[in-house]
Amino acid sequence: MALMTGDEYVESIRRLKMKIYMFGETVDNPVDNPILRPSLNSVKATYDLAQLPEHADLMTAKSHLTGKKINRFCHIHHSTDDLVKKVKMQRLCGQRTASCFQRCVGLDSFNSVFSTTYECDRKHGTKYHENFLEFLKEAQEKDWTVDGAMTDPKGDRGLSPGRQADPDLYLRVVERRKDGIVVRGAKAHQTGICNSHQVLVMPTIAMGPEDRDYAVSFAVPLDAENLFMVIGRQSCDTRKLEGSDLDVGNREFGGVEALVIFDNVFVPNERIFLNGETDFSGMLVERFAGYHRQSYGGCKVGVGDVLIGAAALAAEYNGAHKASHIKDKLIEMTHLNETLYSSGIACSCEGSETASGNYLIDLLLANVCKQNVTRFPYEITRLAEDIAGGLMVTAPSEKDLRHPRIGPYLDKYLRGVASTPTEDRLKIMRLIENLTLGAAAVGYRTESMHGAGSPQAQRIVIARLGNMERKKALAKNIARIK
Amino acid sequence: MPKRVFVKYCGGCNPHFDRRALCLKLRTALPQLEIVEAHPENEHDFVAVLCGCRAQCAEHSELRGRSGKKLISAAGDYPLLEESIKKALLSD
Ligand SMILES: Cc1cc2nc3c(=O)[nH]c(=O)nc-3n(C[C@H](O)[C@H](O)[C@H](O)COP(=O)(O)OP(=O)(O)OC[C@H]3O[C@@H](n4cnc5c(N)ncnc54)[C@H](O)[C@@H]3O)c2cc1C
Repeated sequence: MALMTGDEYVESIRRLKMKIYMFGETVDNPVDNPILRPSLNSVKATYDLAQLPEHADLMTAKSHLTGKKINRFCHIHHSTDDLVKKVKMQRLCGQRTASCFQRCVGLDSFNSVFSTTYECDRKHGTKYHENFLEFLKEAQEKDWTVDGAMTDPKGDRGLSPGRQADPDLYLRVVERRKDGIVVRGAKAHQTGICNSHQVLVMPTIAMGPEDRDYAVSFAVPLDAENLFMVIGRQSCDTRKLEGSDLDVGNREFGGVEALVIFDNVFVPNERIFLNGETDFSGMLVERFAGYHRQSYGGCKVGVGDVLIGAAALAAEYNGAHKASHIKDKLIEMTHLNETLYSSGIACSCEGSETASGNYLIDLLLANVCKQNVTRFPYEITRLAEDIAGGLMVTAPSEKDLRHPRIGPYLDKYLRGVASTPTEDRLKIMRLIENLTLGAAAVGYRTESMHGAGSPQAQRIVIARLGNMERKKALAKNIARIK
Repeated sequence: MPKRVFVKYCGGCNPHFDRRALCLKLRTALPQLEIVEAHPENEHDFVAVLCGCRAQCAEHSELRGRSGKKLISAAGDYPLLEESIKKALLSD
């Protein structure tokens, strides 16, 4: 198959019998659930776009394993050009969905597990890379969406995995059998998990020898026995139940996160990619985090493109677009957005080959990229809210707009420039609301802060890779200090 | 059999013009040619590479046009493209 159409993807998810809870109930048909469907549509867009000739150059790649054309979300980067194209693809997907399209965690976990298993095998004589290649081949052939699951609940942040009051607060191996392992624990904040075919689990931190049972990586299908998920709430989520296109801001697309529980899940040997080799846990975490920090230099930029466009339209619709401060704010938003893009591109161009042959981004620049992402979208949303005016949070509902008696008043009093229909103005207000403090703000704001690691995690890497000794030597040289 | 022009696009992450609209314009302007956007082969009578910006990142190194290849990255360059195709495929 290698490339599924969007519709084939939707049907493939429908066939999976996942155990999903939301609002205290099981969700038997997640595909058609109005709260979840927009998030499925965002993933579907990654399949639809791959079918279009005008996007094929970014959305598809040639598999280094089979030579077949595959979706770039299943690709192993083999050059800096591949890394650059990844960022551009993510920008495109962000532009088309104005939300988190969820599929990059899988891509980032593929690439980090690929190189880490190779190096682990070389040191320990294990067979994880072979296992992983078989999994990857199947993922490419079946065009899977894979959830990259790193974040454990972590309990007391001051304690290591083995010292927690409850040993399951980090996912761990609870039984080693001849044919595989049994794992117990959970992964938190899992993006797109209910829209994925498989989950690829990785450890969440570097570990010492005493944490052997926690240094585990593997893949299982999402309908695996004893695996279930609880969907996270999003701001304004139940608006999607009201049947209003206007009030949701983005009718078609959205993101989703869930807490995923592994309540004694069996993993067969051939799907294990790390099992006790604690010395490779840190490498896997660093590489996954690095790739994912690069990702945000693409996806958030694409969403930013939409928000900047929405702010510019809001100004046109209320007639303030010619004011110099409005123009300047739009320039500032663009400047911030393109700065994010610059570091996404820069860490890709400066990528290098790993021992396994795939390409890793420049880790310092990827961390700088993500550090900027923890700040700039907040400033961009601040400026968008400034330009939008208060109506973005005080506008009445679509039902009021359609009401035979009240509607004409709203149409009259909420109009900006005479030539723009009030309804169009309200649509842009709702889109800005959606992105800045509604359902999509989960992805555009808080995910920008914590996704791929909280700000301090990047600062630790920046401190380590910043080459301070050389900077001091340069200063001494200029100042003529011996 | 009409001569065939293969239109190859860049990935379109931030195009400054509508690349597909230019392809349609080509189809309208040159009805005697077959203008295709997807084709498994590498060799064509002519290859038109439409890039959305000056980065010109479309991967076209393996594509060959027997009578020529032309890359443009701005809507204003369209006349040059049409002219090159006419010259290469319709001059006699
Ligand atoms: C929308 C969204 C989507 C996400 N998607 C995914 C996904 O698909 N897959 C995935 O694996 N993860 C995902 N994540 C998880 C993300 O990587 C984590 O949120 C991030 O690593 C922070 O962990 P936490 O949320 O547990 O925050 P916490 O650990 O509770 O951090 C809160 C604060 O405490 C500080 N802190 C924490 N521990 C320490 C310590 N030991 N010492 C000093 N300070 C500390 C942090 O720096 C931060 O300031 C997602 C997160 C979000 C918000």
